Amino acid sequence: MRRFDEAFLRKLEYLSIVARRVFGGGLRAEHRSRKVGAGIEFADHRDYAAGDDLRYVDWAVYARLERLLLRLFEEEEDLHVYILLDVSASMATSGKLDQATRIAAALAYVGLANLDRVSIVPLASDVAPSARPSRGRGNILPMLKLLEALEPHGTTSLAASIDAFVRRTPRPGLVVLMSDFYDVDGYAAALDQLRYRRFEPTAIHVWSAKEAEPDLLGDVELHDVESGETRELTIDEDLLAAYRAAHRALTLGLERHCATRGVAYLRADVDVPFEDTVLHLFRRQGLLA
Amino acid sequence: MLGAGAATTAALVALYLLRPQRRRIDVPYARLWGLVAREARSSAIARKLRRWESLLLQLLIASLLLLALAEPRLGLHEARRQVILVDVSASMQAKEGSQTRLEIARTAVQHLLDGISPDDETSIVVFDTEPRVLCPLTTDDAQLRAAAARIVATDAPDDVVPALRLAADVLRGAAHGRLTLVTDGSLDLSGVEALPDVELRAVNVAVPSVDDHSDNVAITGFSVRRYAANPSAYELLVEVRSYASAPRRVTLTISQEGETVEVTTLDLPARGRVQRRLSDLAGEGRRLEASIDGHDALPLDDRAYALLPEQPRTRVLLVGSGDLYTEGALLLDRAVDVERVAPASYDAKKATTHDAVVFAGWTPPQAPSVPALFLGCEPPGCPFSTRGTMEAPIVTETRKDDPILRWVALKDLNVSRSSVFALGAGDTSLASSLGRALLVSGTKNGVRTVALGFQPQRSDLPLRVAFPILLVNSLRWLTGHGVESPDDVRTGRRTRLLAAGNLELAGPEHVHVSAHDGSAELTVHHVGFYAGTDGRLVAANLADGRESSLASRPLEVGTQTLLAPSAAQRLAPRMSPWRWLAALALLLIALEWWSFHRRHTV
Repeated sequence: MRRFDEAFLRKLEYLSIVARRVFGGGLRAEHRSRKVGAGIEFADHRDYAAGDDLRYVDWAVYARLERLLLRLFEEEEDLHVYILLDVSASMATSGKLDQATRIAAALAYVGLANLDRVSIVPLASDVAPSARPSRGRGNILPMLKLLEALEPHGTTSLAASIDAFVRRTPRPGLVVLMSDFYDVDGYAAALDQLRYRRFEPTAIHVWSAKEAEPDLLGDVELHDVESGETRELTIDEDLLAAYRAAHRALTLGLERHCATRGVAYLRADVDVPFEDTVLHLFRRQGLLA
Repeated sequence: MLGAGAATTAALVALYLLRPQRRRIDVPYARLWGLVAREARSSAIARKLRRWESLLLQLLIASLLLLALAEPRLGLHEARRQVILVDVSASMQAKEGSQTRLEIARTAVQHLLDGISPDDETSIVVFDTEPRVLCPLTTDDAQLRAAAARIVATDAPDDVVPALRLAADVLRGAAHGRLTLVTDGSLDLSGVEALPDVELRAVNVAVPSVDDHSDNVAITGFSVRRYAANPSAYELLVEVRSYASAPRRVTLTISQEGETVEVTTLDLPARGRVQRRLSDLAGEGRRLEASIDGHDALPLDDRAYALLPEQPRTRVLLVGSGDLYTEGALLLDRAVDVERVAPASYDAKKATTHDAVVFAGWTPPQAPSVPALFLGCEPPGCPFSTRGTMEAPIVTETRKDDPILRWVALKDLNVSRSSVFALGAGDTSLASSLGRALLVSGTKNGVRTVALGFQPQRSDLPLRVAFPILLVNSLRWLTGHGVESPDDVRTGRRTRLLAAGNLELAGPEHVHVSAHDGSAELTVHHVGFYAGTDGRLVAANLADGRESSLASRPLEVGTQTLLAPSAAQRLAPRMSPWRWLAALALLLIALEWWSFHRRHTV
């Protein structure tokens, strides 16, 4: 595998062990869902209806109130983790896609090891076919193959992609959205859509210092890798400073948007080893905890 | 030049107006650049000239290079013709501090060359007793500097007059002629007159002394002679002179062929001299060297060289009828072996076994093939033509500078009758009476011959001291064993030598001497011993008190004191700004390169 060699796989195992030690029993598959069902923890009462199982009638309440109420329990079910990976052409620059796939692989491995149901969803101008949600460490290889085969293409359209994703994904869960967030239409609608659909989104901003602080001067022809648009510019110090400021504003805007809306945000620097980013994610953001 | 400048400027501006080949760079989000980019950047000419700093630098560099190619000159003046006259005499070897005067002079010449305009014609002439052109008139700076580097000192004294004469010839007719004398101030400029239309300058490389003293001790005289009674021994005369203002004590060492034969101490008074005769010395070899110890300003004159005279034996055949006067006079010279023979027994073949033949009162029918002295030369056998006889002649004219008559006085000589010689080509009248030759010398049948017009017995000549001297001088001239071929010479001075053919002398320098009519003129410029290809030895000495004094006096010609060229005169014209312009252009190129790579001019 081009992106995932032996050393990478060893790092995944290491991350898995570290995650267990740090978060202890909190990583068991017994994630409490809001769905009321056949659990053991009391959730609520409702009126008895014909056909209900008499074993769940709360006889103590009947003795006191002479009313048949049925005891409801929270149903325990697996946590769904959706890893949404931006594979638009812009992710090809500065090694962002490579870094994103490595982080996705790490998250998937840890999630599978925790018996979560993990799904990797590539996003470009549309939603690419993704692997069926899987569970258990033995399913990591198909996911790695999927990640390995990813090629950047198309344009970034987060809103459309997320909309398509939520429409075909009835079961909410944890969503890790990895993108450079270079979207002409913006990212706000996409994140909000996830929130409205009761997903718990985490935004991982795949970020490159070379793109944020470029060292470009002189006569250049800028070629947009997504749109194919070219732009002739003579870049001087002033223009360069303006660009850097604009990029900084773009990043801060995303960060602020996430903060104000309770969306976890993490900047994944391509120059930082992916395992550091993943551990940081575990520790600071509480992802998967 | 203006056209070239305009064309270059136009070309540079056009190059800047050309659409630059832009670098293509892939970016993930070009829209962000579009948001911050200002409008209307690319097309307008003003925008293309935005990099005016770079263009300005390029134009400046091009201007500087064009200016450098034009070789501008600072200080406008007409071309001059200049002669730099450099004293290379022995005193220039004296030390002034850590450098010799010659080294200072060489530096001074280089500085003078710095002040010469490229259009100036310059010649470098060095001189001691004679001038030598080191570099003819040229405008080639490299050639002049190479010549200046070749300036070396000789061991000869100086004589500035021939050098000035040569310089005057070189500068004759020049509109702006300048003569710059580089010397140590030891020149004798008395009698030198200012050259018309020539600017006369001088650079004195020595510190002029107030009272003509210096820290120098010199051997100013060194001669040797054999004892007549004991030719294997000899005596020396040495003169040592001190130019110091305080008494000095020096050790004098005499060596013969490298072996020390005498060491003595001399106490020299302040600015005084000591003569010392060293007697009864003996040793093998002819080469004698005197040296004094101690370090002084001029080591050159701390050594002197002399050659012990040779003692050749002269075999003489005396043909006569018992002329005891002549025989007795010949026997006075211990170096002469005399064989007597009567005229009747004379054999011309036998004569060839002798160095010379003396015919006393008898003239053979045919002159011998060896040098001969005829005492009473009469026709028909006399090799010189005669034109009658003269009764009681009185010697009225003598050729005193001839070696045959050295120390010979013929005044009031009484002669009863003498033949009168008719001088032929190459004949020399040594003594004559009212223009009629009585004593002649010349080369007859390829050999030297001397003839006296009367028999000595028919005069009172045998009773005079002059008679034996005349015989000895004649024999020495005839055989070549004598003073005519000196073996001690002074550097820088011409010395006439007897030489049968051309000579090569090897020693401190290699000298070629061309011979004409049995003699040659020798001039050497370095002290020491010289060995000739004919086996002869020559000793050369400076022996010049003026050079050894190292005195440096103000340089004055007439009433004019010669001044050094001023700094402005030396430096202003030679400024060659093209080098500076080219250097500045290079600096600006480096600056432009730096600014481009630092993205200041993009």
